[in-house]
Amino acid sequence: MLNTVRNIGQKEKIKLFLEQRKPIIEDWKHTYYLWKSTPLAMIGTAIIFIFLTIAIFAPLLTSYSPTEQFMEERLLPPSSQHIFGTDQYGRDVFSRVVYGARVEVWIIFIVSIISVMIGIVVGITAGYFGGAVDEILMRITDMFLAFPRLILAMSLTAVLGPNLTNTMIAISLVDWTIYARLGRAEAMKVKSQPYIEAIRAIGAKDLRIIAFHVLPMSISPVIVQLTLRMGTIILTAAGLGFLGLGAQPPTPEWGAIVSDGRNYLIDQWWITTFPGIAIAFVVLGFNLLGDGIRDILDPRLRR
Amino acid sequence: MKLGNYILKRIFLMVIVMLGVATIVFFITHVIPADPVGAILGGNAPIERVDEMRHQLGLDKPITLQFIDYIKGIVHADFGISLKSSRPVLKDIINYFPATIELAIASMIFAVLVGVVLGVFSAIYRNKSIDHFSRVFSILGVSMPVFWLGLLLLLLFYYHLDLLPGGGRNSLFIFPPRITGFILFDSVLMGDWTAFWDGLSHIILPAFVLGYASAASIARIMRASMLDILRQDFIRTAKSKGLSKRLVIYRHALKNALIPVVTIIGLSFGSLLSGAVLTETIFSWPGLGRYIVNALLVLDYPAVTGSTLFIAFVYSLANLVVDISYAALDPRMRV
Repeated sequence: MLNTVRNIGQKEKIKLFLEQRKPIIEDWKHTYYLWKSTPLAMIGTAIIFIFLTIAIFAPLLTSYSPTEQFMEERLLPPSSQHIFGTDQYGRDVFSRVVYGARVEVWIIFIVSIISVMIGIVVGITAGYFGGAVDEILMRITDMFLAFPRLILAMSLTAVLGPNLTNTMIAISLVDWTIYARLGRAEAMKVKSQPYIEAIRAIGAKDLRIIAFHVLPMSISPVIVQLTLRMGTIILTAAGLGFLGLGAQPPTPEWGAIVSDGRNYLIDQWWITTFPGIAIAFVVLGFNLLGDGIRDILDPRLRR
Repeated sequence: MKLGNYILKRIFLMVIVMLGVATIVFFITHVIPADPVGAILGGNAPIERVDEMRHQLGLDKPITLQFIDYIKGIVHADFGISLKSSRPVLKDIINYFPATIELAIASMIFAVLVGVVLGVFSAIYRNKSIDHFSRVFSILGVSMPVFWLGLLLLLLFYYHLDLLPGGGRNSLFIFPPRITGFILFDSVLMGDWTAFWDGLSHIILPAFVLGYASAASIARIMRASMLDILRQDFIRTAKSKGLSKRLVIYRHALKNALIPVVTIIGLSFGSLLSGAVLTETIFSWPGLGRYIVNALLVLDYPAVTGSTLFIAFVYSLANLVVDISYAALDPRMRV
């Protein structure tokens, strides 16, 4: 079998490859069709795309530094020079918002990785081994769930020292519980399947079963949940930044910029307004996309 | 499982979880901080002062002893003396908590009224203009940062229109009666209508800002659940019996559609407490949320410990009540 595959030409190989994956490709096509027929999901995707583009190409979009201060140009209203105006240190608000997109992307990225990793490890261990292990790990999860999210996150950042890194650590330590519950449910479902029993009969060890069979099955619901939560991650980070218990100046984190402009709100509305619009816009994008994903994955719609 | 046993089991579990919560808070306030005294006094404080402070906070004892003292304190509801206000933390909490509860209740009332009405109408008039409006309202509600919305509304209603007061719970020269600590309730009780209207005008904006997100999620759930119910057979039966549309909707559909909303109300409590931190900061609302933020900003450890524990306790208690009332309504939940 292997030899015949090796002997056929490149074109044939691609053909065979496509042939084998026909069901998956059909599925993706159907998903694409559903996505196209959900206009709100498309708008959400577009917003996220714009957000990522701005984050990646930030230096090309503005010629001002987000942190350098020009005291002689402080508190200028929006003009053709500074389209979002300048703040109390003469920094260009537009470039702070644009570079802020990078900060937010970085926060989402790191928080996603840490929280999903902790959550998956705890959840799969609990679900797979069950019994006392499950009971202990789930009670620990409950303990973290016993705090309102923002309050636990801000206590952690305040004590660790308020800065961007600790903000990300704190939000991850609050967020992992959701993935732990999901991972546990998924692991319990997979573990009772007959094929797992068969593999175990062949002699596969727990670690192998977890790594090659349980983990891959648990990943996709976790990823879906992750996209649904990205908006919340930004809102939490911005809330911490606003309270002064998150990213510290001069880091251009959007919540911190809103807080910067607080005392100038009445006459210099632009410092607060634009980063706030940016937060609302991006969170809106993630929420629209998340709603769309939920609709698309809804089995009742899929049929 | 019998309801009584279920309640006992849940209370037992809550005690265990609260012990864990206390341990987490101990870690946050006693183990992680490398140098709490340095953070409080600053780097250049004289050694004697540092030692005195360490002794005052009990930091010169071994960590296990500190933990035992800490748990003992909690059991006796003694959280120590706040470093900033120099008063017992428990007194501070009792002082600030009614404001938070009053705000939370006002927001919840707003959220339930607006959410249920919008949800029902957008389900009945699906894909009509009211439905579109309600969906835009909901998606904005869950997307807008609370603190930013609060600031903009303050700018509009306080500064530009001068319709509503700018913050706090009451005006400078109005002294509402204090019995329970709930201004609106107390002033009605004493018949002090000036104080009542004053308190009401102060609570409108914060309650709206805090309740908006909950209103949005209630409207979404209400719409989905109403649509689901309206599709079911018993509704068709009711209609074919010749009942009026109004009767079918209010008597048959609404009652059943409200059940998931009850869950959301319970779940919203946590996000209300989180949101209260931001809302209270913006509106200078003298509640527990602002108290925690101020304590954290100056690293007032006894105050942080006490108020964080207290909030976690209240939150867990609320969840417990929701679960138990659920179990009472639906025996399938008792697992």
